[in-house]
This record gives sequence, C-alpha cells and structure tokens, in this order.
Amino acid sequence: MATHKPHFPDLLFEPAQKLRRWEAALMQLFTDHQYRELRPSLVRRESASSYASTRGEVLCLDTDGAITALRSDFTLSLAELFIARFETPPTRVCYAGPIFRKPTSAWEAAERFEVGCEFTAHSSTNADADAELYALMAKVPDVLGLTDGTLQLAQAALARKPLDQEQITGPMRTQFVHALSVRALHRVAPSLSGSTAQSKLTEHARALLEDNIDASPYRDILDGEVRALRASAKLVSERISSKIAVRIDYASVEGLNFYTGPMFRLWAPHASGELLAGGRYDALYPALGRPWAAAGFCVRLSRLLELHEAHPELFSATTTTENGS
Amino acid sequence: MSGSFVFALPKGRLGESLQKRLANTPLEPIVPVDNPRALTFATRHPNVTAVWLKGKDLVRYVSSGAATFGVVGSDVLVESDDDVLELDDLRFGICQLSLAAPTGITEAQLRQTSHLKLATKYVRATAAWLEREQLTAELVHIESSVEIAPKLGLAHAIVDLVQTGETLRANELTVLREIDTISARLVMNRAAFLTHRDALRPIAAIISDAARAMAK
Repeated sequence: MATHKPHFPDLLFEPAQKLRRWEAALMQLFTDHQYRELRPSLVRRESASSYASTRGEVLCLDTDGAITALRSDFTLSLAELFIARFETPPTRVCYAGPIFRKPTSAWEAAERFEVGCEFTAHSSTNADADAELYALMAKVPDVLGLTDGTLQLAQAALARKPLDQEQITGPMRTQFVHALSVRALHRVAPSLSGSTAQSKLTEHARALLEDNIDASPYRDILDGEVRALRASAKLVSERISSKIAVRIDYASVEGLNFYTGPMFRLWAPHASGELLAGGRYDALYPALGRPWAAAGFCVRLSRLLELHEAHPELFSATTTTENGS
Repeated sequence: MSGSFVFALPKGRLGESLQKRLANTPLEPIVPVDNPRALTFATRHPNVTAVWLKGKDLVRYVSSGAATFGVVGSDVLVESDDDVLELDDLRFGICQLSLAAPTGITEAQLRQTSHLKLATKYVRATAAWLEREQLTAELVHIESSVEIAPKLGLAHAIVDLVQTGETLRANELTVLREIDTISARLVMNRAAFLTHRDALRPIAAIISDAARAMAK
C-alpha cells in the first residue's frame, strides 16, 4: 500500500516550473552582482546522531551502512566548505538547492528549497557589505513578483547589549528573549524575577515593543545601532518596490543567538513564516577558527510556492521570472 | 469568508466567557439563529470573520496564518510548538494547573515513591515543574478523564487544571500543589502582525479592553 509522505512533497507541473523560474531568476540576480555560485554537498558524512538531533538533521544510511546526514542549512554547510578549502574569504558567493530539516511545524516539509547569497570578508568592510546586501535584497520582491509584504529590519544588539550590561545569562536570558520574541510584555517582568535589573530591563522591553526606542533606559549605549538601523531603512526604502513596506522592528529578537548585527526578514500576509531572512553573523567564522566576518540572506522558495498556491493575488501575473528580463 | 481577518474563538467554557465579554463591542460574534452549529460566522466588525476552534487546533490555525488572531488558554501555549505572538494576558478564564492525589496521600509520600507515575494532559508544564523540583517521574499522557487515573491504577497522582475543585472532590482527589496559574491569552499570527500592524492593533485593543472591562 502506498504511503503518503507529506513532508517530502512532490512538485507537480506549475509549482515545479515556478520553482525553477524563481531559482533561475534569483541566481541570475546574484551572478549579475558578481556573486559566484557554489553547491556544497547535499550530504554530510561526519554527523554523529547527537549532533544531528540538535540541528534537526535528516539522517539516512548509505550503502556501506555509514550514517549520513542530509544538508540542513546552507550557511553552515558553506562555512564548513570555506574552512576546508579557502585560505582567504571567498567574498561573494550564491547558492541554490534543497535542504532537509525535521519540521518544527506540522505543515512544514522536511525538504525545502532555498536560494541565497553570502558576503564573507575581513571585518573592516562590514558597513559596505551590509549596504551591498541591502541593495541586493531590495530587488528580490520584484524578481519574485510579490505585490504585498513588509520588510522587517532589526538589530540584534538592541536586546543583546542591555542583557550583557546587566550580566543576564542562562535560563533568565532565554526567558526574556522568548518573551520579547512572542511580544508578550506581560511575560517580561516575571522572566527577570530576582534580577536587580528587572524594572530597568522591563522598561527597555516596553520601549522596544512599543516602537519607542528613545524611551529606553539603555538608549545611550544603543545610539550607534539605532542610527545604523535608521540609515538602513532609508537606504532600503529608496530601492525596494513601493508595494513592500519597510518597517524598523526594535523588538525583533528571533535569531539572536546567531545574528550579531543587522537582521532582516521579508513577510507577506497569510505566509506561514518569513519569505526571506538574513543579516550579519560575525561570530560564525571566528567560532570555526577563522577571523572572518560574514553576512547574507536566504530566500525560502518552498514557503513562496505555498503562498503562491494559496494566495496567487499576492503575486503579479507577469514577473521578471516570466518575461525573461 | 467576507472579512479579511479571521478571529479564532475557543470552544468550550473559555469561549463562552469570551463571548460575554465581547457583547456590545465591534467584535461581538453574530451567531446565525437559523444555524447555531455553524463554525464560521460574522462579527459586527466588517473586516473580521469568526470561527470556533478547539484550543490546540486554534494555535495551529493562527500560527499557519489560516486564522489571524485568537484567544486561547496559556496552558495550550505551553504545550504547543507552533509559533504565535502572545500579545496580552487577558486575565480571565483563570484556573490553576495543580498536582492532585487521592485524598489522604501527602506530597511528601509522593516524593518518596520510587517509580512515581503522574497522569496528565499537560506533559511539558509537568516536566518543567519536575525539573524545577529536581524530581523524576513517569508521565502518563492522557487527553481526558484524568481524574480516574489514580483510582484505576494508571498513575499515583495527576496534574490537571483546577477551577472549582468539584470534579476532584467527586473523584476523591485533593490538590497538593498549585504549579502554575493559567489564563486566557490574545494570540496573533506573526506575519499578519508584521504586515497589517496598523489595522490589527486597534482590533487587538478591543479584545484587551473588553476583557479588562468585565474584570473591573
């Protein structure tokens, strides 16, 4: 009897065609901007099962009986590839293909298609690299034909710096970040129970959640980040489609454990998650032994396919993927 | 669905309580008289349609974007993996997640049980409490009629929601410890919040204000 496997979806006809066109158009965008294509291997043979379970990797046995993990994330796969093969940062690279990860939501597939780009360099070029990525990212909604959405701009330091200053670590830090992540102001004070910084950090959380960063008691130590965030919003607003709203989101802390600077996500009405995510992750390569800085973004094509199927009205009939331009 | 936003109301006691609070507000559900069993219906708000959903499913609908926002007990959120924003503690539907055992059994006796078995629907909340208390126990996950588990030998004690305690007393159980306070929460789909924030904030405020007005 045939078994239905919703987590490894087959793409029939239009979605398959759509995926190929979107992938091709985005890769063309990246290569037009001097990003060179790389394809890290789909399999990772070194994975131990405990390591795999923490990253939600999908495991299988190869013909020799060895445990193999399928690629679960492009950024980490690229990092491992770079460390093994490059003496200096490869600067601009782009990638496309599937990743396999155990879903955290019931409706999410284990096989997901992504396209993305990454800028690795020595840290002195950070600001230029960020500006370049913002400009590139601003072109993505037009390439996809997306006619409604919001680009959310955030800064990891707005939450991290005050927590570091108050030396909030461990479960208390996790609970504070979770409260902010789900925008539950009522959970913030209880998460800091017993801390001498409880009222000050609660006031900070309120300022972040109410889009009023100037009311934060930590405003002084965040001045550089706030200025950079506002400059980024201006830069992106000037370049992105007028159909996409650009919004600074001071309270966004998703990905705080990975991102070290600017973070951005593209959202659309009815989407089950973000359609594009990226930012600066300067701690990744030093943790692997290389003094490199990195930033990049990834387009979640599988989510876009789902959104297109359920809400075609959110996409223009003719896009750069259809007219070949 | 005529409205552009979908409001998920919880079935059961929490839903009835919410309906009372929403009476005479712009979000008052208009349940069709000729079809009282309909699961979808209008509200007084031109842009909001309402649906009845069970707690766990409600979170899933909101998380996926099929529903825009809703009201659900905090107990459901603790047990769920689905990503939703939790915008407000509405402070009604209050009850206690409690440890209860057959009358006459003490907490000290339970702590000294070598292979403690606790029957509960609330596995995560119970596991978190056990960890805080540095206890270990076998959690017997059951969905309903938890109160009969000790009598039938399935578990030594239970962890369950307690509002009045009548069901416990009827089954010869006594509360030994209140583990957590549960209340209604206003939840919203993350993408909807980010893409329609200006339209949704006043709608969320209607629910928060209605909940607080009745609490006064």
